[in-house]
Amino acid sequence: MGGWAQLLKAPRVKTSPRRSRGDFGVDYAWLRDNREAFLGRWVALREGVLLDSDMTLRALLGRLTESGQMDGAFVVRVD
Amino acid sequence: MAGGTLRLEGVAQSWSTGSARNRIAIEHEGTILTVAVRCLIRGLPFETQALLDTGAAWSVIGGDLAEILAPQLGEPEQAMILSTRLGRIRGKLHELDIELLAEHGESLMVTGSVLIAPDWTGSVVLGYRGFLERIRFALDPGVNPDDAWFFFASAG
Repeated sequence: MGGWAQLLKAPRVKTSPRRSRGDFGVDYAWLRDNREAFLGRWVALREGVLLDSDMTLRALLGRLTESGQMDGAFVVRVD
Repeated sequence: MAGGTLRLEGVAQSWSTGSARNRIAIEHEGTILTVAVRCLIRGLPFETQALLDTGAAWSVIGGDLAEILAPQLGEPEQAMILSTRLGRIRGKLHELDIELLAEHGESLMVTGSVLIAPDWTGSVVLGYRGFLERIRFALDPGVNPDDAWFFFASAG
């Protein structure tokens, strides 16, 4: 089976033991408190702390990789 | 926060296997997009957020995220044009793993169909067909925006 037939079938759902390390609430609070200052930028957060930001996602990801901070980072565009 | 009990015809059963706080009231281009949940998209080495939208027929990933993901995606794929509030967008429908991340309990891995559309400038959208249709979920708005919870489980 392939093509449309596969893409139109019901999604497969299963539990995963993965649990995010972060406290989602502190990241959301950071986004709310800093929205105006970072509007339009991509930001990387962990535990409510800004790791880095950039206007382009590729540049931000490049620096996160170089600095070893990618794992567990929460990356979003502020809009 | 992980669990909940569903009572159906007198039989109690657990229905929620995971839960996480969700963001509410995100402003985007003058529109309030109300519910954003945290997720991990296979192929991207970081956690991000997506709008939970039962009114959307399909899930969509656009812009920079789509450009980074596109080279990693394989078959099957089908070209599709989708009519959205931002106009018509072209993309390719792919099968993709997206994990809804839990703060309590277990996360949920969904292998569904997602439109990859680089021209889509809105947020990642998790729509009904091919994604939400097999998830049992509930939203608890809490008493303030910092305490809104998303409960979820496989519908079986």
